[in-house]
Amino acid sequence: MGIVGAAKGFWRTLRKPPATISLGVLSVGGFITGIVFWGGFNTALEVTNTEAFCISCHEMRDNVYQELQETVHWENRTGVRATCPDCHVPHEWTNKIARKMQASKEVWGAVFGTINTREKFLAKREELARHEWARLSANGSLECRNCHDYDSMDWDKMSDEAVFYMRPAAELNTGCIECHKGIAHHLPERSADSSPVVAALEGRAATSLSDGQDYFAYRPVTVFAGEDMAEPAGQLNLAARIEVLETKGDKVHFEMKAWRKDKGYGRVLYDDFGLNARVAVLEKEAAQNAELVQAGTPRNDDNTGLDWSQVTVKLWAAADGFVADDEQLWDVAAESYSSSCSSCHAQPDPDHFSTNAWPALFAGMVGFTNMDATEQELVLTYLQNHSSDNSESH
Amino acid sequence: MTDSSEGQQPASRRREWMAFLFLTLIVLPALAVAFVGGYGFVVWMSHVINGPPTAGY
Ligand code: HEC
Ligand code: HEC
Ligand code: HEC
Ligand code: HEC
Repeated sequence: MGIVGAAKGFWRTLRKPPATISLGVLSVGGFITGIVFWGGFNTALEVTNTEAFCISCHEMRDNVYQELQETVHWENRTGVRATCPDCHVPHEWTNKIARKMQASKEVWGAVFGTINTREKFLAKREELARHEWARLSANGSLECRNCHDYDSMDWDKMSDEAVFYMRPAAELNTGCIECHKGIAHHLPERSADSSPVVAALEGRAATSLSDGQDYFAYRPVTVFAGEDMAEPAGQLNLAARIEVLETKGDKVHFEMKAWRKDKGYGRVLYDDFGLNARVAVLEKEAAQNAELVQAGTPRNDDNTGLDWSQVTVKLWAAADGFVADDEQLWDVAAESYSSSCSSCHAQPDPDHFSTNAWPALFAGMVGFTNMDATEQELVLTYLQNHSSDNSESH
Repeated sequence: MTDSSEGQQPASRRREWMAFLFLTLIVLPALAVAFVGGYGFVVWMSHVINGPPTAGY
């Protein structure tokens, strides 16, 4: 008798009223197994909702769990512990079940070792963190607020800094995660070459440069004094404008017009007279070398009393770090600006402030965002280039 | 007739108990878990498509 025969026999038995088992036994038996099942189901759900379960795989135990132990949510003066599920598992039944099903992906990852080494974990960390940020910002940081509540905060007992930022946040009912990223684990580390803005711009890089045309650096570009590109002479900032003199293979000889303050070695080059928008930083020797850097007659800036000179710089660089149109840069920068700087207030129009005011304003705010160094530089350059000094309407 | 039905009695008793236990202990729990899991899966997919839930605040 095969499987099919057995199934048919089973089905036939089920369809007939029982001849040998009493109705009472069947009802009581069904009732009791029902209770046992429901108890078992909830117990299983609870067991998978404990920290012990979360750290039963070494991926969690060796990474995030260790980091949690350095934070206030591990040990504090009130003795309240936040465990992994407190922050990571929704309490509402439907979303909890959905989260449990989602964990099937994590089980898969554990079985196939998707993040089974520290390196693999670190490489994936940013993506994982982004999932949690998206979840917590969509639900207004619900999980944090199962324990914390703006209405129960005693502002008088908080630090001035906390009150300054959190009072407006409480009025707007902003979620906690907008400002308190990395509260329980280390933040993902990013290197310049994995920066999403650089990745977005890479696809738009100019494949070949034509003589006499203008191009713009889309990432920090190291520059050299000679064609052999042996001694680095400095670095171009993002969006620095160059004019191509000639190209040789994958190298480019270019000219750049900029301004510098006649003070110190004049290593920092600025976009325009009197404006603190950097375009390049040179090594001391290169900045002092009159063959590489030709300076014009100085002009005095009334605001600061400093003399500025226009300079023309001729240097070499690898030819792959440039885009043909600076709008390409501003597109990416504007998107990053509006997504990072609009979570707490409407993002101010770039031309609301001057080129020289933006760096300090930006520096005071950027800590609240998750921009990497390159992205910060790009967005600040964008703001300075579209400030009240540059916009046509002013 | 009576002979054969009496001879079948233990066999059908065994068959009915097996069917009862199989149904209550294996088939129905498996179905319940599959339904709850399937529901969770559908909600998960809806989150993938519509973004995470915006409940609460
Ligand atoms: C299980 C409850 C619980 C959850 C969930 C929880 N916290 Fe906390 N949190 C606490 C406790 C308890 C303290 C320490 C209070 C004290 O100082 O004694 C604390 C402290 C803090 C502090 C103060 C840090 C410091 O250095 O003083 C911040 C900020 C904070 N939590 C943010 C968050 C955020 C953001 C989330 C959500 C991702 C969150 N909390 C989730 C219980 C919780
Ligand atoms: C607008 C940004 C912002 C938002 C939104 C925000 N915080 Fe804060 N919070 C801060 C800053 C800034 C501090 C002070 C620096 C620090 O301790 O990290 C702070 C400090 C704290 C502290 C320590 C206070 C003290 O001085 O002892 C706690 C606790 C805290 N936040 C909890 C929360 C919780 C919970 C939420 C969400 C309901 C939240 N914060 C939302 C910016 C914010
Ligand atoms: C106080 C709340 C809180 C607790 C407790 C907590 N987490 Fe997190 N976790 C977060 C937040 C918020 C993020 C999003 C990334 C960030 O801001 O650091 C995160 C991110 C993660 C990530 C993604 C990778 C990363 O580092 O960003 C993993 C994995 C993780 N948590 C696992 C755990 C495990 C396992 C535990 C228990 C040992 C735990 N978390 C406890 C709040 C918490
Ligand atoms: C975590 C919340 C938060 C984020 C994110 C944030 N800001 Fe702010 N911002 C504030 C708060 C709070 C103030 C002070 C509001 C006030 O004083 O009324 C402020 C004020 C400002 C001001 C006004 C300063 C002035 O003197 O008028 C500017 C400009 C500004 N932010 C720019 C930015 C930029 C650029 C970004 C992105 C890099 C950014 N903000 C991201 C919370 C935030």
